[in-house]
Amino acid sequence: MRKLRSSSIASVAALLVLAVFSMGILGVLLSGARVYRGLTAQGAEDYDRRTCLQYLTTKLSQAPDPAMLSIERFGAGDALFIRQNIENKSYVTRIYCHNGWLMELFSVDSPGFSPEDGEKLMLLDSLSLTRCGSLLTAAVQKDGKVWQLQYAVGGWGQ
Amino acid sequence: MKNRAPLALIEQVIMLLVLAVAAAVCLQIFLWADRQADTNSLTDTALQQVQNTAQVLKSTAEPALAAELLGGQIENEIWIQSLPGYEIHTVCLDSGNPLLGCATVTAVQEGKQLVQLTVYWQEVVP
Repeated sequence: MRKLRSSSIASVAALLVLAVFSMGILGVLLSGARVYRGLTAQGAEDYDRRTCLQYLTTKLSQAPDPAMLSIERFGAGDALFIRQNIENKSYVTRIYCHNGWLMELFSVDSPGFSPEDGEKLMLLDSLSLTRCGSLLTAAVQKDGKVWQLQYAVGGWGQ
Repeated sequence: MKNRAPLALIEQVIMLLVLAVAAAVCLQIFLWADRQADTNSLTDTALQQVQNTAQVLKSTAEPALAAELLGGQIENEIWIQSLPGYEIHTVCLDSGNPLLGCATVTAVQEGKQLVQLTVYWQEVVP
């Protein structure tokens, strides 16, 4: 009877140690998964922000004639119009947000184009453009976060 | 027949100790990775804001006007913008040319410099 009791206690103790071991393993795995999920989400958000704002900055800085930059109505919202002359013909690049996408449309500078004609670049909730003197402000919104870009346009007067 | 239960128990306790050491190392690494990701994200955000400040300075050519647009206060000739997690300090410098304005824009977190840019602009001739 005594042997049976001591054997039971030893078995229970072994099971307890095994249970603690399992909980420890599970705890480490879960915290690792949580950290990894957070890192990935943060990385994706940073990538989206950096890509979107750097794309706009690059387009603005590469505009052949800064004086031909303008903010105009296109479809349901505003768009950034970048005009340029190629072989004595006027072309325009329109950058705008349509149906949850940041879009770009390069075409001859004439009416008759609609927002659906553009090329999808990346997912974006909204893009708002404002001008204050020679300062262009672009505010982009995605998943509830708002990021702002300010750019001094050389060809715009005070 | 010898009772092997105590031996098995000792083995499991040793296994648990090894797990505890490994778990401590792993958790330390996870915490470091989390902190590093936060720092990287903050530096990214600070860089964008520093670039924005530089562009506003180029546009207005007047730090006081730029401070009105972006907010912040001017203390001891340093324009300070307080943002979540960091501050942006803008200090005007003498470029040596009266037609060329110059300033350094620095993002600072708890006294540590994150990002610094030097910006030049054309002064408005009165």
